[in-house]
Amino acid sequence: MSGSPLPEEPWGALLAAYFILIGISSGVTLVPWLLPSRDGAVAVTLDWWSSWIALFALAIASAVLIVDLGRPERFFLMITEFTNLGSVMSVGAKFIALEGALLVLSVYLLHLRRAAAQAGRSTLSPGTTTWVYRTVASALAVTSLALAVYPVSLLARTWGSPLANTPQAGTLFLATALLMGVASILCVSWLLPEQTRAEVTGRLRALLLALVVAEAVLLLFEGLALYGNGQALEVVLHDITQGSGAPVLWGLIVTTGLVVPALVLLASPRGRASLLVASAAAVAGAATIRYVFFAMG
Amino acid sequence: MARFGMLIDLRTCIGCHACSVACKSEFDVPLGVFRDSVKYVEEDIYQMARRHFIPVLCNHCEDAPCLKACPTGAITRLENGEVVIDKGDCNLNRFCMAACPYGAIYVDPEENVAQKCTFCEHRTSEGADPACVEACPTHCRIFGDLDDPDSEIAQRAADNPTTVWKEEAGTNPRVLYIDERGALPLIADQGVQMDMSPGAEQVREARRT
Repeated sequence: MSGSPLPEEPWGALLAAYFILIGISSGVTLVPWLLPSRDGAVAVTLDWWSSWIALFALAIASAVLIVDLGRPERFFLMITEFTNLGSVMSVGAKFIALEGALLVLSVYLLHLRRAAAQAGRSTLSPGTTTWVYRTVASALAVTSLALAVYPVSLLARTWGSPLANTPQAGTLFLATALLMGVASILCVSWLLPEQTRAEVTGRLRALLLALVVAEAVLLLFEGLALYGNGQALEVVLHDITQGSGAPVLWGLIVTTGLVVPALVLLASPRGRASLLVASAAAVAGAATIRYVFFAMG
Repeated sequence: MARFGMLIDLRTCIGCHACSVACKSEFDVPLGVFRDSVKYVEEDIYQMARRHFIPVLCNHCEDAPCLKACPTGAITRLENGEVVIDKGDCNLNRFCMAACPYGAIYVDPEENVAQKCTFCEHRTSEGADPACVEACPTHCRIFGDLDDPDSEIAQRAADNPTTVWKEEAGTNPRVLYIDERGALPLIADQGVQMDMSPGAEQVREARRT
């Protein structure tokens, strides 16, 4: 007889999907900031598509959250209630709402810029207009950064996610968000203006490869942080590396998420098909890392 | 102001579940979920086998992780220290459940809100004991003001070595146990009820031979 109250599994597959989607949304929004020296037209096109991808992912993530909570007003309550700002979830919910509002505003502003560019007015008029564009873009970057790492803070406060308590967990979540963002944008990079497509795709490809390497390094140190750090964490590490989680780690995270993208990007750096394969594999690996943090332990 | 707590003497718990039944009846707790129950923990093997009865409930922690986790402020602490959930403000995000190391919070399947033990706040605010305490046939549960040196709970706690469940979690529970046989650490998070602590297998093997 096991006795009760039995600890119920508080969160299920919906929340895992939510943590992945929020990573894509925040990562996609941050990627344009990692691409220096972009000319105006390319920047607008890149921002335009990244904003739409981010908005789409955020909309699905919010819908998933509402389905999990049961009723839309429950999500609304989390956004409007300010009595416990020490709660990671409370702060995270407000960032989600802010990110959504900023993304809508960003899409609208970018629509105006695209229309202006088509009319031959490609530069921003100085003064208030420029200030509004820069402020919205900067605020969006800040909220995206917050949303990229907030799930790991949330998980660190629970007893079911010991992996989230290591020093590099936050950095790993940021890396997975950026990686999913870069890969998502690479998938639509053929929509960029033809004259600059090769240059931007080249930068994104290099960024993807760098993030894959960074992810591998962070994973290594995540494992080392667990090793020898108490019996409970060693049990988790053993389960992931040699137990029930081994197929997920070695199959999805290492092989699919790290080895395949790295090999494809190095072997065939210019082909559209190879970019799509590398991007899809990298997204699968990064999403699985987020899932493992959520589920293992 | 009183600082309410509960002392559970594991030496005298007989695992009769009268406390669980009283709690179910008091709050009309739905089937399949519990605010208060008794874990049965088995230790060792035949000839040396032992079964421990360990009543478990919300610990009304001084540093309650559920209270800090709740994003809507639905979980509050009363002046007497009891941690309660205002179901009107609960949006069932389940963060409190994930944060509680004791698995003491459950989803009420009928009302679709998080629920847990309240130390029978409606009774204790009028000077009565919680339903589980009143129902216990061996008086293994004692409820009262931990800060009142004349209270039975304070005196029993002073006269006996007490411990808490999962002290390492740092939550400072207000449910104290007299646990002479060291049964509390044998409770695993789920399913359990074998002694899986390091060295236990060697002890079993030594006793077999």
